[in-house]
Amino acid sequence: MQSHFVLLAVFAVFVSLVFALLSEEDDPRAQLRFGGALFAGFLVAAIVFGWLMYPFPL
Amino acid sequence: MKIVVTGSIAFDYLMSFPGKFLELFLPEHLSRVSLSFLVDTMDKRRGGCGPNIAYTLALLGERPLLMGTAGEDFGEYRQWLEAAGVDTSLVQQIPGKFTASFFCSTDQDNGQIASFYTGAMAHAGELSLRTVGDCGLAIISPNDPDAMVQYADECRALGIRGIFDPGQQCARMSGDQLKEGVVGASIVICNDYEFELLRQKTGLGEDDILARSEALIVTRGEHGSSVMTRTGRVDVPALMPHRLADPTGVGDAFRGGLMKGIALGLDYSVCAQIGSVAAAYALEHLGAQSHAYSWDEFRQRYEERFGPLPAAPGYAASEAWAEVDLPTVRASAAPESRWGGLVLLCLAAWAVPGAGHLWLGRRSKGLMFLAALPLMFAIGLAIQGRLFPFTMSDPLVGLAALADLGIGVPYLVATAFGLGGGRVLAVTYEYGNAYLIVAGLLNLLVVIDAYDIALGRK
Repeated sequence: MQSHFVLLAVFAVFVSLVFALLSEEDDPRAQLRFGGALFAGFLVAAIVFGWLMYPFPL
Repeated sequence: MKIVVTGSIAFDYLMSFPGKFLELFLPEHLSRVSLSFLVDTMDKRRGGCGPNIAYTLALLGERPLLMGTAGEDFGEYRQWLEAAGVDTSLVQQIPGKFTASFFCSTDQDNGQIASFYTGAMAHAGELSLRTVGDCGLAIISPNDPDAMVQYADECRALGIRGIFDPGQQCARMSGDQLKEGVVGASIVICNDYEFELLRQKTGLGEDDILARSEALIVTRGEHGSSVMTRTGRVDVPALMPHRLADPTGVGDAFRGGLMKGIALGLDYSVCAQIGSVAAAYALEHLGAQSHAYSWDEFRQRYEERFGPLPAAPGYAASEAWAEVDLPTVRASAAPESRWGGLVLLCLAAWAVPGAGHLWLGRRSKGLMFLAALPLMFAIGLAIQGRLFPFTMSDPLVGLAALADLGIGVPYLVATAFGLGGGRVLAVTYEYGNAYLIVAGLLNLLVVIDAYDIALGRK
């Protein structure tokens, strides 16, 4: 398991899961929506920052 | 004795507006009001007369049956009540409906604008006391008006000792509906304002009510309560609270204490005294279900104000009250005096991820945390992450070590087996560190969540 993307995605799953469970939402479906949005946010942010690092390398 | 509590099940959404409503109403445009208030804070609280009364009964060692209708969003509330010792098997969740909700905005002058969404409560008439076998005592607290009348009829038909508590529904119910409720009840309880409404709408005075019922109990806020029976009237003083936090649910707590006394067969005036003590506890805490007490604390407070607790009929005093243990409330609403229990809860929650939630009856959440966090930690070890040493030569290393420790027992096991050495040259080294550190930090958040639940904040 050395793929950066897979490691990032698995990390995002864990963090999103815990935050969704800790959220104030009572309804499991609302928790799922919140967790899903968080997970998608992680992936989108990673891809966006990944692309930005081409023109602006650290 | 089986005790059934019927009444509204609701959530309270309480908002505070950092201004004054009156300043925003323009007299020349009152014919077409269009206003929206930007509020600073919002609290969502578990409420409803039924659960509030049942919660106090559970605190006093009973296992009341809550009967009512709730929406699809009731799941976590059900878990909370079960953990507190309330039997929710008679609560019916209505598909496609939300639980009844009270939305209230309060301005700087304590002016309030509120709305009440009935939601699932409108289906309360679909339930029946006929489905409850061997019911010894029931309270009909504010709910769907038709359902309240129906329950009162059922009490009369089934010979159940019923308490009619019309509460705020006095304003909504017709005189005939209120009369039917009074006729079906063994005891009528309301506050002084509601009693005036009831008197005006039904034309029934104290004597008329007592001709139909065993007792009429009128509560008068800080002035205590009056217990009227056919043999006379007794005024019971209120108990002075140590502090005034929130009046929400105080009347419900009084009713819970009153019912505990009735269940033990005590004199009505003693029942009202127990109600006064229960009400004082509720008044001292924010929200209607965030207070808790041990039986010893409750009895001591009772005896400081009213003297020794009388013996219940058929029992020696000590035996009667020995029945009152508090096995069910546990840490789900831990009071300040239970700091030992809280510390133990937090330690357990830290040591074993999810243990705090499992302790508090949040089983599904606890199991998820128990599975996810140690797995995340294990993956961090597997991909060559490092468990940092406790050294302050580099403060960031020391902080990372603290974060690693946040996962609890898995950290101790890993260090005992010499794991977590980390391999800097591994491609996954930094990922491993992130997994280990974040797993620990997430577990600390889980501990804080368990602590909040134990204090009744969530």
